[in-house]
Amino acid sequence: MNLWTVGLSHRTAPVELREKFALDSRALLEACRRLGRLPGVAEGMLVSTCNRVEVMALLEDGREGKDALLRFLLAEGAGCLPCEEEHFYALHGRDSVRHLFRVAASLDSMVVGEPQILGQLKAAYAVAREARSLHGMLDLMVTRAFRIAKRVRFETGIGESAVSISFAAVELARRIFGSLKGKHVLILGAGKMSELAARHLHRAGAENIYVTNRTHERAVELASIFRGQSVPYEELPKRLAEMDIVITSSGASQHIITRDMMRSVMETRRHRPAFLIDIAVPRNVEPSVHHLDQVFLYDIDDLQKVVEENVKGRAAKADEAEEIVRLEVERVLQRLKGREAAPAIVELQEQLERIRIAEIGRARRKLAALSPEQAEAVDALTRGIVNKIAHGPISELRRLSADPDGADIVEILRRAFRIDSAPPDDVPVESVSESTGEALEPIPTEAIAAERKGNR
Amino acid sequence: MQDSSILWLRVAAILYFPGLIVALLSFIRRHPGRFRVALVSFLMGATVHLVAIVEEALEVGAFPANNFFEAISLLGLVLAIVFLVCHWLYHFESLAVLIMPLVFLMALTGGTASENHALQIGSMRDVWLTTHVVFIMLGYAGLLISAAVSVFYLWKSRQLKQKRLPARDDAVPPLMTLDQIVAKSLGWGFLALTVGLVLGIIWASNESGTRWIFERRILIAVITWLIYLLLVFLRMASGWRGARAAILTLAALFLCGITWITHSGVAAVLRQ
Repeated sequence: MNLWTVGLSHRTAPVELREKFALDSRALLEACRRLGRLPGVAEGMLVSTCNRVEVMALLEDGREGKDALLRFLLAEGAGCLPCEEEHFYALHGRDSVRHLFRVAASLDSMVVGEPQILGQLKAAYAVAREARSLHGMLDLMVTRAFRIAKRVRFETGIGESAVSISFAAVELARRIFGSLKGKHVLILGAGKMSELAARHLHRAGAENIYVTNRTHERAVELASIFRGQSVPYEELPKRLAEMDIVITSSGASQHIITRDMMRSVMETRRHRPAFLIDIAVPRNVEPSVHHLDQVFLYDIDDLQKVVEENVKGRAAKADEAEEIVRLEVERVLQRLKGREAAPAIVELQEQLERIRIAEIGRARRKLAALSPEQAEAVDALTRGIVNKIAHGPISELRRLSADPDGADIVEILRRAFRIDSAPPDDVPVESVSESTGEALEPIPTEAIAAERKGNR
Repeated sequence: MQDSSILWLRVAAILYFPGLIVALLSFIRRHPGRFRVALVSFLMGATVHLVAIVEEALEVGAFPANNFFEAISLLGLVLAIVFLVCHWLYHFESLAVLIMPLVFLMALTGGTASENHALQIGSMRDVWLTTHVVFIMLGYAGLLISAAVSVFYLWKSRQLKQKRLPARDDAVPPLMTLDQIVAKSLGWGFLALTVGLVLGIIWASNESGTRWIFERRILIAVITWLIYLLLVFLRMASGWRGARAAILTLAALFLCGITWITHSGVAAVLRQ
């Protein structure tokens, strides 16, 4: 399988370079069309996100894809310079498949386990389908990657824990209230952090956002962002009982929400749970409030601890996920090899049969005096010899085709028996064998230099 | 109990067993996908359990709650059905960890009966009495579910208070959902128990006049109902939740257990 991936990502290139290569959806469609028309490209797909720009292409057998795809990528990136070899990676065969599965499963993301990449990959897939640059084996491989990503998420739960303070607040709110629809959220103090947390809560479904601030104008301004309501600061004790979630980030030097205040609030709420997120320093909520029944108070350190635990948890889950990806890669390659071996076996048998018939035809003049029985015996004899000779290579072909590392056996046998559809003799065996090294293989400087020359 | 229905009941217990083991393992190892296996096994167990009870009813020609074994088997089936409804509504898999072992033990205890053990505690040919028993069982099942969910409420609430949260949180529903399940199971359970009690009073009045009023077991039943009423009232009026509500639920459950013992002929079985 001659699958290549050439690209640059947050691991290899700085944002100044990545942004030069980033393509919007229209440009992506056009680029996919151009990719599909490239000579030797059977199928192709482009992925462009803020963290990576990659071209993935299934090339016709024997074609070297590294330089061609790099040239294509550089052309799409408007020949932006300066690019160095370490900014790009080129992956082939097994590494390319593994990379695709890892990207889909969010194992190659900047924040491991983040869910956006799968959506971005699906969008890229839809564009490639629209551009008709994806229709066969690569198409199957990409859809397989989607299934693997789902499996990884389901089995490891890698994306379930929040890894930012504001998401941690949303996650905690969900643990208490489940759906946030219809929940009342109060923002006390119009700081940036509380705004961010409120934004996430709003996105998560909390529709009723209230804002209170010493400067009422600022409260009105912030409330308008969420189509919420501003609450006069003096009304805070009275209105607190309505609120399910309170985010405080006021610059006040004393506690604004005290234990006594909260005790009376809980009576009024008839002990329905209340979630207080205090991200102010100094803190706005008296810490002992947390000891009241059904009150859950988290300050900035608590949220930070939740995030740290989640990050640790994700790292552990990433190991599990890598194992799933490894097994899936083996499974997919094994299946593909099986597919590759079947036609090779048929071709080998046909080639040997052609040789046998040609040799019998050549000897027929000398063997003209043979009776039909003798001719039949010669025919059976030659067939037996050919079958005996072919038995060994065919058995090996069958056995090694099931082994993911037995990649070149088809190629070797094609060459050994001079099967017609074999790749041209000038293609070195090394170029079709799969690299087994680390995931990233840098592009040689010569290729980039040649491209620079071309652009000039 | 009839031999064939005892056999069915034992088969049901055998089917419940792998279900509860898989449910326990999927809870401990956090492998939600495996719960389906537990559920299928449990469903098969419940179906066979139902067959056992129907067969017993057809053989005896009366509602099968005539003795301790029949009653406990019936309570097991009612609990299994209530659990399945609860799971269907809330997808609360972890609840199985507490309910499945209970159902298994009830089916197993019912399955240990023999013809010799069939100590009759009354005739169930009366439709009033049959309905009374079914409603009382539903009341008990509601309270059992409520108590089990309260345990999860306390556990989750404690996690949130201690700020030690597991990264994966799909084993137990959110706190408010747990609260809703407790409220609903308590509410429906109380309603069923009240209807059951009223039907029982009507039946007893028709059968024996007013002699039964001063019986000890009746007094215990009334106290149980009052505790249940108090529990429902405190939740509705004062919003009692968490530890206090859970303790009261467990108290009500304990009294329900005593009431059931006094009514289902456990003493007779133990004497025998």
